This record gives sequence, structure tokens and C-alpha cells, in this order.
Amino acid sequence: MTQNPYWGSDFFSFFAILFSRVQEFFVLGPSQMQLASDELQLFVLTLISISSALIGTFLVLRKMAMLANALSHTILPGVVFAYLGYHYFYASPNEIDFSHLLPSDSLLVVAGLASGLVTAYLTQTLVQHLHQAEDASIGMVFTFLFAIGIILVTAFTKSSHVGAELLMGNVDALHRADLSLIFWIFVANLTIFALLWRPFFVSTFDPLFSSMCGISNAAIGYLLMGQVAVCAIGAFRAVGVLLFLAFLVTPPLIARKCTHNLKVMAGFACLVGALSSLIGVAFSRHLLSVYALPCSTSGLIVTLLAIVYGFSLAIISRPRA
Amino acid sequence: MIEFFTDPVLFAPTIGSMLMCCLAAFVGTFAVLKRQSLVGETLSHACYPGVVLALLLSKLFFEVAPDAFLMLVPMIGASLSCLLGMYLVQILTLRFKVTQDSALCFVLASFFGLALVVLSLLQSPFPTLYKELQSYLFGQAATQTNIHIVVYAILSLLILSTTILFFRPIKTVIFDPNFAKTIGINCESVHLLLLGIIVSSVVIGIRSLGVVLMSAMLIFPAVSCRFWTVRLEFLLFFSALFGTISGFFGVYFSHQMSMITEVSFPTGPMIVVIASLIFFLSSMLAPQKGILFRAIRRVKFWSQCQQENLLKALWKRCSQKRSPAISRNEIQHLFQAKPYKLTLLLSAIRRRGWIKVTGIDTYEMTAFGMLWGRKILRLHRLWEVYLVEYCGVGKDRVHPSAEEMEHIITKEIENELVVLLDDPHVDPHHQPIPTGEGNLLLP
Repeated sequence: MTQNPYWGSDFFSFFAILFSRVQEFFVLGPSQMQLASDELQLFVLTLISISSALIGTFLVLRKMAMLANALSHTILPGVVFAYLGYHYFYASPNEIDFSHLLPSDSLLVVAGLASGLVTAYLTQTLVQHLHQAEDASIGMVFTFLFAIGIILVTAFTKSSHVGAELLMGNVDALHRADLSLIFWIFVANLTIFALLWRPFFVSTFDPLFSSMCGISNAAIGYLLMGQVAVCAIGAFRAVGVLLFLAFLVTPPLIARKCTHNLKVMAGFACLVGALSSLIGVAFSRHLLSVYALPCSTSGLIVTLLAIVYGFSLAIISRPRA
Repeated sequence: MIEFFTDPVLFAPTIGSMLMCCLAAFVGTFAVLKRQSLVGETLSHACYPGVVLALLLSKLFFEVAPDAFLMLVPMIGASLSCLLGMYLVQILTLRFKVTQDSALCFVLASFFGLALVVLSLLQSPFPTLYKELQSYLFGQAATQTNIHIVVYAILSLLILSTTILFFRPIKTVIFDPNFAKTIGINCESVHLLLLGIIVSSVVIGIRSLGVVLMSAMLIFPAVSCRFWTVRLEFLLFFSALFGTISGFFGVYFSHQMSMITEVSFPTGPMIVVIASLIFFLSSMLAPQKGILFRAIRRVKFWSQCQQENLLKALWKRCSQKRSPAISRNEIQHLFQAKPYKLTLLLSAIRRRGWIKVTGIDTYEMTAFGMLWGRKILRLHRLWEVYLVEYCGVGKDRVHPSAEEMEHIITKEIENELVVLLDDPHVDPHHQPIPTGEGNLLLP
């Protein structure tokens, strides 16, 4: 790989270089260009933040945010089981190596969906057959599954570090190959929302009416949960399962402060997410170049989002309808 | 196993973890009863930036300080950031009308993000501190000393005595907030007190359990206990007991695993797995609400229904032909069931004294059986009358409900029905209702 063109650039020259690189891209064509690591991060984070902002809009409005918290945790055991299964069937079990995580993207997606399904199923079982409160059931199911995942990871990798890595994410460890998975998740999410916008809209705001129209609220809920699980699969390597939650919840909350219109809210949430990713990557590069401080990019983005939300709360005091 | 209490190296982590889990489980009961189980999740994550900053400060400024002081620093930092997080949630939900789950989720993720920023900055200048801070994620019991235990014990005693002192107001506020208000209990301060208790238990607990899995310890023991008892006092006691047990075995197994795999094994996940095992066993084996006993009761009731249905069919047949004798073939014809099932049912009702065996495959209804069969038919038809006259159900649709109710209605309900319906003699299908006279006791 050639020298990273962003090496040593500060906050503003980052954008200048980015701009010139984009120009170069259109002049020279894709074959002449190498994707720099900053650009890779930028693409990945932007795609994740747009997907999750769209999903998060509905999560916030449907009051399902803590369920998303549970789902984002339980993808860990899913991923671990998929990995162990893959190695059990296809590779020699002695060479378990988590450094290049997981062999195939489709397996990962299936693992994510399966763990989401298991979470939803177990929670339902606790609520219906053991008569537990819903919040307690959510709390029990995901902590249990997550604990199993952590134990397995620690036992098989012989290191307690991998678990922390999954939790915190590491945007610098991304590969070019990760982009395609995240891109396809992004496309799938866009397609789902484009095709099913109206059902989503109706079932969120008027569940009774939507069930009268023949739209199953439960099906929409499960679809949304599936989207969260898959998106979490795409995001956990880059941002970690916990910060992914901030990507889900904060942009919609900011957008909710500014508008009452769902389409505007979703669009604005995407914009906020994408912009904060851009600024986050540039700022992280700035910290590294100017102060020689290596800083967690996703952490920066999340902090930035929280600050923006704080400002939006302080400035926009319009009473909500 | 005993060496965990005698070995000088293992003693402190074991006792420390047990204390923490005991406390968290005790306090978690209130959170679960208030239906705020997920608040603990946010609280524990909100602690993390406080821990990170506090440890950084103590690293920078108090290199040489007494142990007791050094261990208090992260706890103070954790409680401050925990309270700040909770305050933010309150503001968001009350002042800005954000829904509670979004507010919790936002605070959780934002605080964690902030902590990660500081953590990533620390990584290269302070690698040991970075490692120590990472162990707070999933919990590490190993490095506790006797001073830790003393501090935990003091805090536990404080929390316990506070709870005992304010037990009545707390109980009232949790179970009946409106009543509490009318008798002049300050609900706000009780809620604040509970929040304070929960925060302090979380702050203590993250050492062994880790910020990620802390909330499990608040939920699991309390929920497990609810299978066994409904009294708050017992709930608190058993919850603390279950918590202590999971704390001990969590440390035990994580120690064993560390021995086997030669990796320092996080204690948090182990404790959670033990706690969920206790939950699973409770949900199975608890006498009143457990799945096992509920299933047994269901099977018993079902078999009683089957027996009574058979008896009813026998009674109808026998009173028709005015003779108590009946043959196996006739019964098979009356009561469509598989032969082995019929054999079982017949032997069951024979044991109840409803029929007696008179020869090979011939039976005779006893007087008691006749009475009981008549009673069931009477209840069936009474219920049909009630449904038609008082509930406005159509005549042709009352039968299935009566088929169920005939096994459930007690003597008291029967008497009330008789009074209400003015002792009817015919049911909606113009069938006679047998009289309720006759002794139902065993002959």
C-alpha cells in the first residue's frame, strides 16, 4: 500500500486532501486510486451511521431502544458460535485465530440474525411462560448470553483482551474486505425502508390502524430487530457493540428535537450521523497528527454526538407537540 | 473449596465478591419490584468514565498514598459519574419528555463513548493502567485486599441498616405509591434513597462483576426469589443469599478456569452464569410457581377431568337403564378412548371408590359414584342455565364452557348459583337438572 496521503494532516487540511482526492477520483477513474485507511474508516463509519440512524429513528419512536441494547450484546455469542462452528467443520481446531475475525460475511449475518432470534424468543418465553416483567426478562437474557459469549471467547482465544475489543471496537483494524459487508447491509436497510416506508410509518404511529390495514405490528417489530442485529454485526468490529447504540439512538434524538415530520426526522438523523462520522474521523486524525494522541475514533464520534445533542436541547426549546 | 476462605491470597477476593454480589442482589430486589430493572444497566455503564478519570487522576497525583485511599478513589469517581448519568436521565425524561428507554440508552452509550476516548488516550502513555481499566469491563476479583473487604463490609452494613430503618416507607412506596402519598410519606425522598442505595451497590459491584454485566446481579437473584416467596422480607433475604452463592461460585469457577487455561479469567461472566443457573433451577423447582410443579398440577387436573367425564358418561348410562352394572364393552362404546387409557381411567376411578369390579370386565357403580356423577351433571347444567340467563350466551354455545366449569365449581359457587337462578329444574336444552340432595361423603 502506498503512503497514506492523510499522514500528518490537521483538521482542516484533512478536508482539503479529501476534496482533492475526490477530484482526483473523478479525473483518474477508480482504477488509479488506492483507498487510504482514513477513507476506509470514513466510508465504513458513514455507512454504519446512516443505516443505524434510519433504524434508530423507528427504535426511538417505538420505545424499543433498550431491546436494541440487548440485541447488540447478544450478537457476541452468535459470532463466537459461528466462528467455533466454522472452525470445527472446515478448519483444524488447533488454529483458532481471532485476529482476522470470521471467515465469511454471510455466516456472520446468519449468526447475527440467529442470535437476534434467540434473544427475542427467550425474552418472549420468559414473559409468557414464566410471567416475568418484560424489562427484567430483557436484562436477564442478554446478560446471560453475553456472559456465555465472553467465557467462550476467553477460553478459546486464551486472552481476555478479545472480549474487550469486541465491546469497544477498533476502527483502525478495519480491512478493505469489511467494506463490502457494511455496504450491503447499508443497501439492504435502504431497500427495506424504501419499500416498506408506509407500513413502518403506520405501525409506529397507529398500531391499531395498521393492524386493521393488515400490517402485522409484530412482523414489523421483528423486522426491525433483525435489522438491528445485522447492522450490529456490520458495526461491531468498527465501533463495538456499545458505541453502536449511540449511533442508533443519538442522531434520531437530535433530529426529533428539530422536527415533527418523520421523513425529515429520518433524513436529518442520517445527515447528523454522516456529518459526525466525517468530523470524527478528521478530528481523530487531527489529534494524532498535531498532538500525537492516538484516540478512539468511534468514541470521539459518540462524544461529539452527545455534545451536539446537549446543544440541541439547550438551544431548541420549542415545546413538542 | 474450603481453601478459598483460608488461603491468604484467595480469601480477600472471595469474601469481597461475595459481599458485592450479596449487596447487589439485596438492592436489586427494589429495582426489580419497581419495574426498573434496566436502570442498573445504564448506571453501571455510566460509572465507567468516572472510574477511568479517577484512576488516571490518582495515577498522576497520588502515586504514593495509603491503600485505603487509593481504593476509595475509583469508587468516588464511579459514584459521581453514576449520579451524573442518573441525573441526566431524569432531566431528559422529565424536562425534555424523552422516553425513558431512549434516555437510558443515550446516557449509557454516551458515557461509555466518553470513557473510551479517555481510555484510548491512555493506552500508550500508561499501559498498566490501561490494562487495569480494561479489567473493570468484565470484572476482576483477584487484586482485592483485606482493606477492600473492610470498606465493602462497612458500606454493606450502612445500606442494610438504612433499609431496615426505612423498611416500612420503602415497602409502602414500592407497592402502593398512592397510599404512601395519602399517609404522608415523602415519595420523592424514598425514591432518592432507593436510587442512592442502588448506585452505591453498583459502584461497589463493578470491581468484581464488571460494568457490562453488573446489571445482571441486580436482576437475576431477585427474580429467582420471586418464584419461592412473595413476602418482601423473605425476598430480600433469599435474594441476598442467592447473590452470595453466585458470588462465591463465580470466583471459584473463574479461579479454576484460570488454573486450567492459564489466562486470567474474568469473574463477572462466571458469576452471571451461576446466577442464571440458580434462576433456571428456581423456575423449574419452586413449589408454587415452578414449571415442574405447575406441569404436575396441570396433569393432575387434566386426569381428574378425564375421570369425571368418564364417570358422567357412566352415570348417564346407568341411570338410563336403572341398573348400576356395566360391562367393559359398553363403557368402551360410551367413552371413546384408547383401550389402555380406558384401563388406566377405570382403575383410577375404582381407587376413588366410584365403581367397583364385579367380574372379568364387568363393573358396578357404587352409591358414592352415582352421587358424584349426578353432582357433575348438575353443575354442568346449572352452569348452562347461568350462561344463558345471566350472560346472554346462545343456547347452542354454552356446552363447551360447561364442560370445563363442571370440574371447577365448588360447593360454595354451586350454592350461590342455586340462589341466583332460583333452584332451576331444567337446563336450556330442556334436560332435567338432578337435585343436589344426597350425601357426597364416602360411604
